[in-house]
Amino acid sequence: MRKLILLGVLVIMFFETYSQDTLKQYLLPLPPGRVIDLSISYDGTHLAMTVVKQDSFFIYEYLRNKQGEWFDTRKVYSSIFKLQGPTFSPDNDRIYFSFSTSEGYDIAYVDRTMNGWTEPRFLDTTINSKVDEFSPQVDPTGKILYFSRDEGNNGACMHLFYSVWEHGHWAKAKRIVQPVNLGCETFPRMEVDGQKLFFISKREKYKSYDIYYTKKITQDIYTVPQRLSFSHPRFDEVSPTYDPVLKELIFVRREKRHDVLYAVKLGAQFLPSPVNILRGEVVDNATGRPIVAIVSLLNTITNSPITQFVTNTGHYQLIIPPGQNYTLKVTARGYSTKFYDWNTRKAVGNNIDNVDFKLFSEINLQLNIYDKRLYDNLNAQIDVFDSLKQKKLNNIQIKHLSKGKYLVKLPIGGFYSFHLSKDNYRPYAFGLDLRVPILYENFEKDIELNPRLERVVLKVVDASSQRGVTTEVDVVSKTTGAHYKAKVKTDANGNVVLFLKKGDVYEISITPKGYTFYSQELNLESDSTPPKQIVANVKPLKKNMSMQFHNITFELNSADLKEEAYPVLDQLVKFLKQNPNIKVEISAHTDDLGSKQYNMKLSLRRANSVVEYLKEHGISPDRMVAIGYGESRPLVPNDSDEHRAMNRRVEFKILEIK
Amino acid sequence: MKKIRFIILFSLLFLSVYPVSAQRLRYKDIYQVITSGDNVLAYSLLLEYQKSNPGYANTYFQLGLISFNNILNADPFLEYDKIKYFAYNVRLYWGLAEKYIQNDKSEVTRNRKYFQNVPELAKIKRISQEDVLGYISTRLNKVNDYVKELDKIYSLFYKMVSDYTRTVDHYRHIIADYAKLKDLYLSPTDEIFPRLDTIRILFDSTMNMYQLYRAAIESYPLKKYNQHLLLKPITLYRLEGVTNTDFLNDTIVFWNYGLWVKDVKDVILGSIMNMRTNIAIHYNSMMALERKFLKTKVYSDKYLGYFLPSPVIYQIEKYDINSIMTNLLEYNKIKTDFLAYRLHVYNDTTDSLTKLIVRANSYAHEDMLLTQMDSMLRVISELNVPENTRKYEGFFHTNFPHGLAPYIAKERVQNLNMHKKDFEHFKYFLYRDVFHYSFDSSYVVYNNDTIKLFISTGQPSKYVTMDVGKDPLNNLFVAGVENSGHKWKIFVCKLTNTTVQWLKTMPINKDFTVPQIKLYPYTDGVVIDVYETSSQAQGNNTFYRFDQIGEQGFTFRSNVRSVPRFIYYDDINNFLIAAYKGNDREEPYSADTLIIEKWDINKKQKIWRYNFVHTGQFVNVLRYDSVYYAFVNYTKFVGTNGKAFRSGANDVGVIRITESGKIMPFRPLEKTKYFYLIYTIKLSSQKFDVLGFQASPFDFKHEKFGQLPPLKSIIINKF
Repeated sequence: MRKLILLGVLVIMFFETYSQDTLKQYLLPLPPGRVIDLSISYDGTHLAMTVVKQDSFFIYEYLRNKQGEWFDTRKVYSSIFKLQGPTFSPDNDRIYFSFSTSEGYDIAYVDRTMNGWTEPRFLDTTINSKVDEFSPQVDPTGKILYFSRDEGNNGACMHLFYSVWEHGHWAKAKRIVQPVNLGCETFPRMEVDGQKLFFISKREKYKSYDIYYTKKITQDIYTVPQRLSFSHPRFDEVSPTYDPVLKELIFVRREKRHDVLYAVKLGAQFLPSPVNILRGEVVDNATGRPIVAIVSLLNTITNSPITQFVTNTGHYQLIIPPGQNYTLKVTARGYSTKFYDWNTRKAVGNNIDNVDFKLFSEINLQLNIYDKRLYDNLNAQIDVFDSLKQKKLNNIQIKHLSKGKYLVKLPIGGFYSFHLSKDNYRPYAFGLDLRVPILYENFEKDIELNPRLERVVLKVVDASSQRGVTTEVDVVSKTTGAHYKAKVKTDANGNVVLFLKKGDVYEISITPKGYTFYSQELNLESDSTPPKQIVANVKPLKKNMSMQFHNITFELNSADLKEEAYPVLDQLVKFLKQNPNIKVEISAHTDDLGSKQYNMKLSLRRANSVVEYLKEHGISPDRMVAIGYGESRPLVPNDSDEHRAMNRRVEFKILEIK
Repeated sequence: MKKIRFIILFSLLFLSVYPVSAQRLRYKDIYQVITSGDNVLAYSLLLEYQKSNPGYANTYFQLGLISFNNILNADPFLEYDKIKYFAYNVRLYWGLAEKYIQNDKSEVTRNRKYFQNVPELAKIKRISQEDVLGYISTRLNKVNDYVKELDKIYSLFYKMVSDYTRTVDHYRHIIADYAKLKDLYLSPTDEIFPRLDTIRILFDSTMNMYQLYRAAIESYPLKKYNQHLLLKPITLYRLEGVTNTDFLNDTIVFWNYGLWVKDVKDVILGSIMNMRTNIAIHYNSMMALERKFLKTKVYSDKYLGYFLPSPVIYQIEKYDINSIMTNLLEYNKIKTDFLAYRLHVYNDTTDSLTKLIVRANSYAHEDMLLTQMDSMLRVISELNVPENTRKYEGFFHTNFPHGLAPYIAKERVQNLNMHKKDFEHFKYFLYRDVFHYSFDSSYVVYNNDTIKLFISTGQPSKYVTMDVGKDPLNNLFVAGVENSGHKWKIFVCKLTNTTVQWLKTMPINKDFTVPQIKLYPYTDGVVIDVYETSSQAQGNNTFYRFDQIGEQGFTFRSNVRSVPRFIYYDDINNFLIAAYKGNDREEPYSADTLIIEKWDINKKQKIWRYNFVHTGQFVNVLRYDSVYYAFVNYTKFVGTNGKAFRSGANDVGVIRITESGKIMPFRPLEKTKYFYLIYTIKLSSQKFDVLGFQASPFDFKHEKFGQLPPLKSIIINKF
């Protein structure tokens, strides 16, 4: 009885070990020719296949539809030379394969671009040696390349090698440790988690190539490889590849008369561990078109790049096992940069995230230009230069938004210098380096321009004694309406130093107590030569002193004042308020047109109009006497229009100083 | 036997499933692998050999050696854990090597050749136990030193990385929260300063860690790393400082966040604080002035509004364009102007000296200020959103604890009420001086008879007042008809301070009646226009002039048979303008012909006369630089060129005629749609004021002051 039980156990174990798991044929629309080998991408969306037909070799690519079916067969590359073992890079935009040349089989690759696939390029001599290399595959991180190499056995026996991507190139390839390499090994095929490795091997008692499975613990440590039970003892199995959608292992069995594609469901222990997949497109924000971008995965601690690749088609895909956080940096030449924090800690099953990045190629820089003293907005001339080429850029778009505000559009990637200039202001320059990673699109910069100042000394002197007069000075820019300062006063010698902005026209008014008032326009415009010193002679008020005004004007044949007279009258108000101890005679004079009686009446009415105005502005009527002199006191003969205009006037005469 | 068979069979079975290399490991082969340099293979072979030969000292020596080399080759920052792991292994393996060498004195001599794969031992001809132990000891010390120093360096390095990364993160959060630097400047300091200080502290710590790290690697250089720092300033907000640095690069680039924080704080504590101080100073000063003006009861023209310097506004606008604060300050500045202006004498109802034109100008100015204030309040209301007010949180919290909305509503009402009250003052003078309405039924007694100082109807008195007016010197003239027994005469008198200076009478033509008299007082006297009609449909207008002492001047007659509605006498040029319409004493809204004429008094000659097809009412005439502007209400007007103007309810239009009589195109006043004009005032050589009601002339009669709708004033630039 015991024997029976033991035998039974042994038989069960035998069957478990040796029974052919359920194999089925793997169906997909085949191109004409004979299938040599195939592989499916890590995400299960692409399939690459080598086919030979009439002595020509072809690599085809399949895409998968939403129903999981393979369709849309496209030729990737063809050659009269042998091609073998195509596999996809993790982002599916590169196919590695072995290419027979005059020097034997070497590993090459083609890249997908927006215009199709490139011509093959060979890996360098750290990979491609004098002997043959076959069946390349990069792992899901893109940093380890697996392949097989014939170590001088003329292809009779190969071993598995690997190389690490370091410092921008593949390091010298190393042999994978035993017991992985134990017999003759080829077709290394890593699963999406970067740990489980399928390969074919002919070792020990088996006469054919069978499929083996091992698990990578570290680069130097693997579990003891396990021969998969469905491997046929007599026929070679080649090209094992895992289909993550169907969760099946696909392989080619070279049977007696033909090669057959098989698929077998794998047990749980062979399935890959969950991974995180991040994929998407990098597009131009303005056009929506995909762009060639550089995608880098950064170590979140040191910010050093772990891996970096170029998206020739704008499409990217990254496959990372869970457990760490990463930072993704996406940029393109002449475009902005985007960072994306990729949290892979929380992955339970396969996590697939679709994240598209829109990059922009220009920034908007708003310049706000101010007068440094007044904070007033200023328009200015803006020139933009290429700092490196020292050349003015005429094609930069500068939009004038409003006074002192400009919007400049600048292409990313340049190093610019700005020169701002404005008449009567010191020029201003600054640099802007857009070669740095740009995250934002809109910027604003305030620029304060320093006005060029003219130093003017104002000296107020008593016209009689020539002594300095202490008084307040009112300086107003007629150009801007701004007062120079709230209060400016001359010193005991009558001097005051003014620093006035070049380019403006100023009105300097002085109303010293006990003196006539003084007013002068000071032109500091660019084309004028301003005086360095202004001497304002003010006459001390004396009885019978007279001041004439030609700009106190009236409507025709009327005593109604014109609005243009108001500023002068306001000045007179100020003068009379400043000197409350004086009494004045206000007289109006006419030319000789019209009758004497008429002119007399008109001038009296006009004088009264002036008195009314001053009265309404707070001057006591007791201080004023209105007189009309008509045509009786001409300054000059009324023999021309010019002279008549001179005679038409209003006069102020000091009658009394208390 | 059975057992053995079972065991053999079982083992064979498993052997077939799990083929294992049956090859026996020989140490010399392993040593070959060691010397070939394939440390990875050698390590796994040594581990395998050790299992079956646990006492073999060289195994441990070689394992320790491989571990030692792994430590030296490992990246101190990226493979720190590996270094620690192999450091442990080195101590373990070489500890065991030492033990087994010390236990067996001949161990080394017996296996001399296997200790020669290190240069220091290879050059010794006959390696002894002491040589090997000495080698192990020095190498162990080296490992211990290395690990100890590396621990320190590693800790400093990663603290520096951590602090800088946190600095960058905090900075990024700030630039994400504040799109513009100006918004940051204006945010409340208790909100932003802690965040800035956090950045500064972290950055200072980073710099400190960097210094310590540099000192550490200078005292204990690492093979792979000798980074130097490059500090770069942040010159443009959001352009620079947004990215972290690669700490493994030879040059570590740090953005100078410390300097940036300092610069930002300098601006906030400098320019912004200065701006806020200025705001507070000026606002409080304006409030104090407003309060003072509201309390003041004394009228004077000396009051002036607050002087708000332009740089204060510009300073705010530099940081906050279209700011709620600038609008609030400017509103209050205008309000002080308004309050100051209201205290001017024109608004004093006890003042009788100020001329109507001055009052009209003043009221127009007040009206303009009110419009400005209202407009500003509207803008403030629109800008009253949290993103604007939080920039001045402290200010609004202090001055508007209940928010701005109630303040705005209250201000609107208050301003309007003040203005309405002032307009009532103006209306009082307007009706008194222009329409001669009496507010107190005033009259004077003359020769025991009363003369009413307002337009009256009926005949309870000897004197029936038909028109009243003041000259520029405030003398009052009254004209009307006198009932002397059964005979009627025309009278005109002058009053100074309610005392009749003189009274003159003129006869009325036999069988004629006098439906209307119009007078025009001027500086040197008065002109009156007497309209007489007879039952035989005869009529004429006779003009008389009297000077200030009552002496009669010119007299002449116009044969216009219509009631005079307005006369204007230019005593300087001695011209007279008169407008007539209809035959009713009170001017109805009628289709009667409107007649306007001009007379040269010197020549007693009519210069021009125009008859207009006009449905409406005549108002008055203003003179601007030799052009007469005649204002009319109309629903229909036909110019002399035949062009007709019509309106729905009522519109206001202007007939313009030059001194010489040239008619300029009739001009409807667009601003006065559906407006009933009652008077116009010449404000200056460039402006006039139209006064009237936003109502239809058919809706009311304006005899009773108290029942009038609101009077409206519109300032129009002369065209």
